[in-house]
Parts: sequence; structure tokens; C-alpha cells
Amino acid sequence: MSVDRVDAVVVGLGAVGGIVAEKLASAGLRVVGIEKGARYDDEDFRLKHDEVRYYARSAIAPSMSDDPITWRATERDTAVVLPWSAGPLGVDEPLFGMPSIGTGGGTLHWGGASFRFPEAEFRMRSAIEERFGSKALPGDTTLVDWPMSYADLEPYYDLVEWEQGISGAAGNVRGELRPGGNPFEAPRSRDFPMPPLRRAPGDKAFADACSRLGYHPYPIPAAINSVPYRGRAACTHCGFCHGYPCHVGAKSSTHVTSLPVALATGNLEIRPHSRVIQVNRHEADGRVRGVTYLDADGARRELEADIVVLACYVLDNTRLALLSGINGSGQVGRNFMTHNFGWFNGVLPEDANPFVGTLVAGSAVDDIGGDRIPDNDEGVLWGSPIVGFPTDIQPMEAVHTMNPAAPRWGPGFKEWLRTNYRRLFRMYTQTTNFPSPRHYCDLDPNVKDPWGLPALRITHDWDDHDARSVEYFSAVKRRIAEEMGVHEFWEHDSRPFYHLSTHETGLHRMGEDPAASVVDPYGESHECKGLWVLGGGQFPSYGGYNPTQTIQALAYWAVDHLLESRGATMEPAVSSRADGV
Amino acid sequence: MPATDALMFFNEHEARTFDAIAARVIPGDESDPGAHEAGATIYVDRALGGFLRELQSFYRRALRRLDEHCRARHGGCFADLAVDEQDLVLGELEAGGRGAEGESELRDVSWDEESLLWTFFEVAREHIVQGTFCDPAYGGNRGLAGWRLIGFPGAQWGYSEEQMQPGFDARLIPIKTLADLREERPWEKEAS
Repeated sequence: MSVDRVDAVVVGLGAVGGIVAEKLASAGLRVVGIEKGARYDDEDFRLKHDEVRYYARSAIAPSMSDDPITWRATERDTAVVLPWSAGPLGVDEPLFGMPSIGTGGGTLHWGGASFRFPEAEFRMRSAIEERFGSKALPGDTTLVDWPMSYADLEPYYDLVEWEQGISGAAGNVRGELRPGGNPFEAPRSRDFPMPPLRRAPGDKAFADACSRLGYHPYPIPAAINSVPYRGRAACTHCGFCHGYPCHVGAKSSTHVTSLPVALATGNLEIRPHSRVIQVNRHEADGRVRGVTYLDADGARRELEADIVVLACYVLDNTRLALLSGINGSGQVGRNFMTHNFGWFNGVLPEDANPFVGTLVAGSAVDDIGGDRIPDNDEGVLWGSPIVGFPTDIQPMEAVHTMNPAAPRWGPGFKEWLRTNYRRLFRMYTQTTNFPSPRHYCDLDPNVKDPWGLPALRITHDWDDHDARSVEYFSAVKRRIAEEMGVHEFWEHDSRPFYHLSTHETGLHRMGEDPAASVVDPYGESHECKGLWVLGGGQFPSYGGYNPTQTIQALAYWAVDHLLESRGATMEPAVSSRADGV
Repeated sequence: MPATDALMFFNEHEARTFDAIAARVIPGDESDPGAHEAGATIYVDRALGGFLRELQSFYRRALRRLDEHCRARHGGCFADLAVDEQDLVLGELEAGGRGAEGESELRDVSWDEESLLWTFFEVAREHIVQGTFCDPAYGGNRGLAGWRLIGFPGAQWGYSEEQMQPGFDARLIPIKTLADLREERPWEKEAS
């Protein structure tokens, strides 16, 4: 298939693009997927157990030289290429840089934490105002409720879990509480398709300590096969997981979940190593006309389609919309939100081998998440789950995250690593940052990529509420750590050095009002019909849960609506546990 | 650094100087190997000949500057100084790169002469760590010295339920490398 006109173009074949390509191709549309990175198969990752290649040298993540992003704290500053990610070491810290690229996109590198957002997350503004009054939120926040409810999205969360493959323990099935799961989760229509992953050794100390403190630990829902599922193998617990592609296809990455299904229809063509540089529109009515892209040889090409889906990382979606001049409302790039992880690191009293299993083979507690934040003097308005990170810490990562009070070289450095490496344990939270007109992205006036196109510029600094939230949860983590017998611990500053977490959201907000949002509640551009801009950029608010499962639920929701509007239907690929095995 | 290894970038003196730094960053001896015994210098030499080639002039300039500094202040090139003098020099370099709050200021480093040496210390430390804990395929971590030091079992295809129990002594797990995995081809066993 070598055509310059197709039914649909999907830009980026990651968490969202894989799903969209699968469902459009399965419905009979001819689809071209344009992917900036490589086209990957299982065989590419058999020997992925390599910390130099994937961590120190960022083999699957974009580099700041090819894909520069700039940052400044305030409008008074001149933005620079991400200073924490572009140092002279040639080391991109995976958690504070850009997600991986290539088929599978960010689902190649991710840890696979797959939380549904509870009901209250969809009405954060209302919930805070009802409880704390209308003056409690920062005066300049642009926070709004979501245009849909949890109940609207529940069937699509279910699709993610059963089609992409999520393992976990249900806590609430249709209102009935189940032991072992999260008692605070929103009601789900059915159980997970797979039981939880085998626990990492260090998880027991965390879960037991939380239980003794009266919390309710539950296994982190994981986008990793705990048993063979839908033709894919079970996890082998190799311990090279977050930041690494999976060597057996057990991790839910769309290059093994969705793209093979799409390719089997014969309706999908993948064009790897190709960069979309502009979305094109019909002059007459402003509808989408297609895209211009640079192919693998660098040649400029055009592709026409009535449906164009931007399914890149939120920062790239935003940059493409801005480069294409699709921002009549001025809303593109506003409402930047990211996660402050509040990293807590400690040394356990006994060996816990933090190199066996995956980081999501741990537990979380949701007792003070979201609207369950206790009344407090610090003015913290929204809570976060506290998530254990018991393993998946390789030696160089351990050195990067070691106690800053310990010697950094010499005999003391050696002894610290010898004694403590096997006892490392981490915890994190993801505290809410409220969108503000001070936090946004636009095109950098100075920095350009190698193709002469402006870099995206982030303007963001941590607000008081961010810092107070981290400090509030630091006290909780310290209590848990003490109960675990952890005496040596260290934490990130409550206003950390990074402003990029691979968890950015906002920027192309969804909503009913074209003057206050970029896309409608289904993800179609208000301004440019036929253009769908999907991903975490749609989020109107951002609580403490990892974003990907909600991003994927929104992708199913979008493509269901898109097909329905064309008189087609989205057929589920799997309906019961029996279908899976 | 075994003298039998070919050099791809460093000259003899540069290799000797860098190896002396490596031996202070992670010290060791035959019974308890450190970065020198692990061959971290060979890792760095090969990296500079390939993946890190953009840092060639930086390394060359910094190693020369380090010797100038040592000759002026301590009366000899770095590799010829006594161990405690070498530690003194490295301590100065490290302190130069620290901000007011004691955190590494690496993210703000510039390439000018003022900061060349302390930037070099941070870069060298990072690469010595890589050369100690890398897969041996990269030329470092000889005799699995880095992994044995901390009890890391290396490139394992997976771990058993027993190996994942709390309290399991991971030093009982035979360490594996990428070459071991490639030879064993576990993916073929899983497919059959």
C-alpha cells in the first residue's frame, strides 16, 4: 500500500495511537500510522537487560538534540534545553525526560502502573469547593470539572483492562467490596482479567507496616501479564522493567497488544522513522485535509485523509497543533500539569533484593487519596495514593538515587553501596498541581530542532500548594518508613529540580466550550473538524494517579464515538476471561 | 587496568591518569576489587572511541588541565602523586561542583575553564560507575567485580518464586551476563 490518500492518519503509535489504529483498521478503514521512532518486534528486545544501553544511553527515548524541549521557571527567565536532562554526561534520567518512542511509544518504557481515576477525580473543582469553600483554591487556577463522569468512562476502563491486559485485585465490583483489593476504588463492572503479579520481596515490609498503621494496602494494578494472556507470555520478573522494553511481551505495550491486531486486518500501514511536521486543513471550511511529514530519508511528503488523529506525547501533540497554526481560541498549550513524585528513599533493615520483579509488584494505599485527604492545617486540598516502589532498581540507578549525605566516592562510597544496595526501598506520591495561567507551553523563540522547527517551551514552577502537599505526604511516608524499621532515608526537595515527569497533562484540554477548551469531550478539535487530539493533554484536572490507563480509556471512548458517528461500531476484541487465555 | 588491553582513544599517559582516578573513586585490591580491577578505564576508553566520541576533546583537555593543576600545586602529575594527595585533589574538584545546599550543581555546568575540572570530576565519576557496573560486554565490570561487590545477579531472564521470597540470599543466584543469555537462548525454550 503506497498511497497519498487514506481514510485515516494516526500520528504516533504509542499508548493511544496503537488503540486507535487497531479499532479503525478493524472497522475497515484504511489507516496509515506515522511513527517518529523505529518499528519494533519482540526480537528487538530479547537482550534488553542492559543498563548502559537503556538507562545511561537512553536507547529508546528521544534525545534532547533531536527533540529539544526548553524550560523556564517564569516569564522573566530565558528558557534553556531541559537542564536536568541534557547535561554533559549524556545521561537522560528516564523519569524526568521524554517517554520512549517507536511502535509502542511510551508503553515501551513505562512501569505499567494502571490506576483507574476514582469518581471524585472527575469533579475535583466541585468537590474542593463543596468541602473547603470557593476561596480555598489558588485564585488564578483554571481548574474545571471533567465533561464526563467516572460512570461514563467505566466501560472504557474495562476495555483497557481486558484488551490491553491489566493484572490486579478488584476491591469493588458493582458496589460489592472484595477482600485484597482497594476498598476505596470506584465500582467496577467486573474483576481484572488476571490476578496480581507475584510480589517483590520488599513489598511485604511496606504492606505490613501500612496495615499496622490502619491503612488498606492493595496490589498496584499492573499492565503486565501475571499469567499468559491473549497469546502473550507471563512476566518472568527479570527486574529490568521501568525504562526498559519487555523481553517476553508480557508488558502491555501497544506494539504487542494492538498493532499486531491492526496489521492482521491488512488495513494498517506503518511508516516508521517519519516525523509529522504539520497538520493541513482545507481552506474552504477549515476541516482537516491531512499531514505533511518527513519520511525516513528526510524527504517531505504529504498524506491526505478526512480523519487525522494526533496520538503523540502531550508535548508533541501540543507542538504540532501550534506549528500548524491550529489555535484560534488561544487555548492550546494552556493548563500545563505534571507530577511531583515526592521521592522517598530508604534502607530496609534486611535484604529485599530490589532487582527482582517489576516496580509495580508493590502495593499502594489510597486511604488519604483524592477527596479523602484529612482536614489539615497545611492547606492541602487534594490527596494522593502512597505507592511503594520495592524493586526494579538497577545498580547505576541506585547510584543516581543514593543518599546525598553518603560519600560520593572513595572507600565510604564503596561501602555504602556494598551494605545498602540490596536493602533499598522507595515510595512516591503524585500530588495535585492546579492549572494556572502561569504554567503553559508555547513555541520557543530561540531554540529549534535539527529540521529548523521551534522547540516547545515549558513555563512552569512549583507552587506553594505543590510544596505543601509534598511536605504533608512526606510526614506520612516517614511514619510508614519508621514502622518498616527504616532508619536511614532521604527525600527529594518539595520543589524538585525537574519539571518534566513523563506524566505531563493538560495543554489540549477537553470541554464543551470552544472558547475554554481545545477538543470536545470526545477529543475532536473544536476548530478543525476531523482532527482528533488525544492523550493526557485532554485532562482538565490531575490527581495522584498514573495517567496512562485513563489516557487509554479516553482513546477507546474517542474511537467508539468516531466510528459511531460514521455509522460503524467498535467491536470488543475480548469479552471474558476465557477469551483471554 | 590490565596492560594487555588495546587502547582505542587514550594514550598511555591518559589511560594511566584516568585509571588512577578510577582507583580512588571506587578503591580496591585483588581480594576486594574496585573500579581499577573492574577495568572501568577500558570501558571509558572504548566509550570515547564510540558512543561518547563527542566528549573526546573534553576528556583530553580536562586530563591535561588536571596534570597542570597537580604539577603547580602538588609538584607532579596526578598519576605520580601519593594516594592521599590524589584524594586531596579529587576532594577539591568535588567541592568545586557543589552548590550552597550541598547538592551537585551538575545540571548547571558550563564548559568554560573555570568549571572544567569539577565538571570533569562529575563526568569521570559517572563513567567510572558505568564502567564498574556495566555488562562485561562493554569492557568494564571484569570478573563481574562491580556486580559481586553489591550482590547484583546481572542479566537474568527471570526469577523464580523461591528467589523472590523476602530474605532469600541473592548471592546464591549464579550471576549472568548478556553473553550468557545469548548463548543460552531462553526465548527458544519458551517458544517450544
